[in-house]
Amino acid sequence: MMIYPMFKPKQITMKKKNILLIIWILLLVLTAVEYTFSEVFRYSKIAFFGIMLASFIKYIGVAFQFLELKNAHPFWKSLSVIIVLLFIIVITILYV
Amino acid sequence: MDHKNFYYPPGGILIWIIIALELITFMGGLVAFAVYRNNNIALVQESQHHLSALIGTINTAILITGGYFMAVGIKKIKIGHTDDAAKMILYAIITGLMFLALKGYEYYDKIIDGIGMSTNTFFSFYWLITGFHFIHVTVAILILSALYIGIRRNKYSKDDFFDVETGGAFWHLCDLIWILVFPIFYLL
Repeated sequence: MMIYPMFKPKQITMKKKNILLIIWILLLVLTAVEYTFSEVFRYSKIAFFGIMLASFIKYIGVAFQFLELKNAHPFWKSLSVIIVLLFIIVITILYV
Repeated sequence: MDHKNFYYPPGGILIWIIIALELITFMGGLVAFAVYRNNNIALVQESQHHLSALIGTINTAILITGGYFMAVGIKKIKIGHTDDAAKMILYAIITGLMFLALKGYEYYDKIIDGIGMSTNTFFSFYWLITGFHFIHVTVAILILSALYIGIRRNKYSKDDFFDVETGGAFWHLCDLIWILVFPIFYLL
């Protein structure tokens, strides 16, 4: 029974580090996807929606995982998501 | 510290007020640009050809990598691995300097081509918004440098890392702003 608590913090740290690593790789992949969409479907609606979706996921990934917004009060989570959603809606109205 | 408490989000409430205000300010600038673009699509698309989407993409990857190092650094200091935390923050500083160097090259390239703030409204927005972001990254590097020195001098530990968390939040703010600026100017 005494052994388990000694290993627990390390296990948690490894898990958190792995989550950050996965998010980092995901963010890099999404950045590459954005660039590809821009080059292949330049100025098309497909490019617009693909790039905006990728940007939204990247924003959420950085805010909730890197900035640890996932641990914050619901107000701060809601505020961050509402601000970016409003921005994306306005940009979509103006661009499409 | 209980981050679930309204007054104690990661990094503290003051930095979150700054984050919210900064995001709204940059978004306002980008929406103003989008309104301008809506009425001048041909000119904007012609001007965009002077920007390198590849350089923008590489810079985005660099900044995101810096964000990853900073996030790992905060995890490390929370469990008392201060040496590792300092190392991660140093890596984040290096990525920040790489971002500034590449952005500086991009600016230099524009200046050599005779493209300045007064070239047209597209480039007025471009210089203004990316320039403000450039200043933010510069300030973030200075903050991280101070934190790095602080950790090396044992000022921060697993029991006292609030400043590190706050500095990290400012660093991630630069990530968040760039994630929105990058597609608007370089890709769409």
